[in-house]
Amino acid sequence: MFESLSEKLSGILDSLTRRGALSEDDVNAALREVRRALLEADVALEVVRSFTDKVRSRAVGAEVIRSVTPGQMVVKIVHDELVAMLGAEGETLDLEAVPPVPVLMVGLQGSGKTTTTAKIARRLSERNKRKVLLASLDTRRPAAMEQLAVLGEQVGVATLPIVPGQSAVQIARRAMEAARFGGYDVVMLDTAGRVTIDEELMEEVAQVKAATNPHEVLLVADALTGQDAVNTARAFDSKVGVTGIVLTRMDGDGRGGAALSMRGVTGKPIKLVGTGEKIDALEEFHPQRVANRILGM
Amino acid sequence: FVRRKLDAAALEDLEDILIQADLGVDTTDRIIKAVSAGRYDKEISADEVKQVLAREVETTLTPVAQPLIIDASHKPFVILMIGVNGAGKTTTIGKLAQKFRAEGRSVMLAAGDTFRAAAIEQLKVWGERTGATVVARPQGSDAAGLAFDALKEAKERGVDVLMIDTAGRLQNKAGLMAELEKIVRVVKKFDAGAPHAALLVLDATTGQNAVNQVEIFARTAGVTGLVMTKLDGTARGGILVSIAAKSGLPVHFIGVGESVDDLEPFSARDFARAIAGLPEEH
Ligand SMILES: Nc1nc2c(ncn2[C@@H]2O[C@H](COP(=O)(O)OP(=O)(O)OP(=O)(O)O)[C@@H](O)[C@H]2O)c(=O)[nH]1
Ligand SMILES: Nc1nc2c(ncn2[C@@H]2O[C@H](COP(=O)(O)OP(=O)(O)OP(=O)(O)O)[C@@H](O)[C@H]2O)c(=O)[nH]1
Ligand SMILES: [K+]
Ligand SMILES: [Mg+2]
Ligand SMILES: [Mg+2]
Repeated sequence: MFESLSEKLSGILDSLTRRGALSEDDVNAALREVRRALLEADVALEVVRSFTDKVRSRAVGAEVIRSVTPGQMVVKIVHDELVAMLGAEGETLDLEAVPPVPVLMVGLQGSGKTTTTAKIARRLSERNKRKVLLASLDTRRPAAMEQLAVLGEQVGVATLPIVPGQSAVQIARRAMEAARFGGYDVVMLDTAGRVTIDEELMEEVAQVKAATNPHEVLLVADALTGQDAVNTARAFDSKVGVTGIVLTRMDGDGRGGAALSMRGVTGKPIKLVGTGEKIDALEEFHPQRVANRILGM
Repeated sequence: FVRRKLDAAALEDLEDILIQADLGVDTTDRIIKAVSAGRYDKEISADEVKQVLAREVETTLTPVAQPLIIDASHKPFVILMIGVNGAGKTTTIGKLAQKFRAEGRSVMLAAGDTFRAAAIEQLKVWGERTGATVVARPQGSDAAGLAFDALKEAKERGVDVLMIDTAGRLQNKAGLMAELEKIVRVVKKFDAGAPHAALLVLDATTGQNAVNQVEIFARTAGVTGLVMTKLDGTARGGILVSIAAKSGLPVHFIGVGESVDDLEPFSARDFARAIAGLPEEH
């Protein structure tokens, strides 16, 4: 795909080298190909627009016109801008606060919250030697609490005992109390999946936030998400103030445009990526790699 | 109504609607061409143009809007549920169990996701909710072996419908796809005609990757039909239009929530209208 974008741009632009100047039509034709490539990688339309605007202003500049291979030069600009827009390397979880530090996990149904909760807990306890408590606030999905309990056992991290009949907010409060009492460093609060137009459930998660004052609010999102990524990211950010994004299923063969979409509309960093069902399949985010992937390199 | 010329700018607005609904660039281009054919530069109201857009989308979807027919001569009628992780397979099994029970059929569920934590418990809850028997083995057991046992038991007990749950898997994972192939092989060994339906569950929030999902799952497990879930959110699931055009696979149901009754038959017209941004008809 990258080759074909690269070839297309070369085809459009490189023949013009001898002419010594790029017309507006040349640039428009090139940007149409960039637009198509990004849309095929699931980058949200509005993010594509603001992106191509940035590329346009550089593409008409001297660096392209003077280049021997303007097509390749535009490809390089596209790539550089993608990396810049995806954010810096090495943004990671911030747990510098008075313990127990609450971490709130939010997202749509099935995005990978519970699995990611356990993955992060494992990393914090094994790598950072933190004492972690897991709590499931999912009072809705069948066996959601059992799922987290099983995963907790797998990674050797404690889970808050299940008390049937409590609300999400009640469980969250109980988790914080248990963590203070038990001398825990971090409390991971896993929540039920919710669609963003479910006002009642969005209000519930806002209340959980108010009750626990989490230091990190992580939006867990599927890397295979299409155009809806912007709606999801915006809605969760405006309701609960997301501090970071975790992209799951990066082990798939999707092109991962959701990364650019979510970062683009919220400005929030992508802090981690999920790369498998297994409990150790959690990695740092590398903008360079994701840019290559969006372009199909 | 304000009438407006169907010019380049107006067509671009329509294009935006389709792109943002995940139809993809090629399908969007094709539909926009069809919409503008014979109408370019003519005056048309905003509502009319959406109607035309919806009709074009509907035309692609109509051939695939087909109900799932349970052939009662198969006892059990075997349904295999497949798809990527978290798409909604287990929940859809629960919803279908409810529907079949309401039709007076006996239903058995096979807890074929022997991998994911508490997947078995999740299916058992759905069994309890719907009055379906659940066949399960401990986590970590062989999924194909479990499927075989369930088939045998369903046959012995004269069950009407057996639904086999499977673990979520990404279609680019060769090892996991080979495992799915093995499940199908074992089912066929028991009954050459089974599974009588292999339903691929697609998540409406998924973008262009859903096309690959359909292609590879179809090749591996002989998909007979599709279900699209999570249409109660803000995602429109427009990739289904490209899939319909490409694969022609029947679309049986849509999922519109997490409750047992949140399953609807797929309607080409309603789906197309939602994509075009037209209100629901009653
Ligand atoms: N391949 C792959 N699968 C993943 C990844 N993260 C999670 N999963 C799988 O995705 C499915 C859903 O994960 P869950 O953790 O249950 O998702 P959730 O967001 O908690 O779901 P709900 O609580 O129902 O909203 C499971 O099958 C997980 O094994 C990942 O990075 N890669
Ligand atoms: N809003 C909404 N949520 C749904 C729908 N269908 C399923 N879900 C939710 O999506 C999440 C995942 O559903 P599951 O049925 O566990 O998905 P799965 O494909 O079996 O997942 P794995 O077995 O982990 O691969 C759960 O929280 C379900 O309640 C739907 O139509 N709408
Ligand atoms: K998903
Ligand atoms: Mg969960
Ligand atoms: Mg399942």
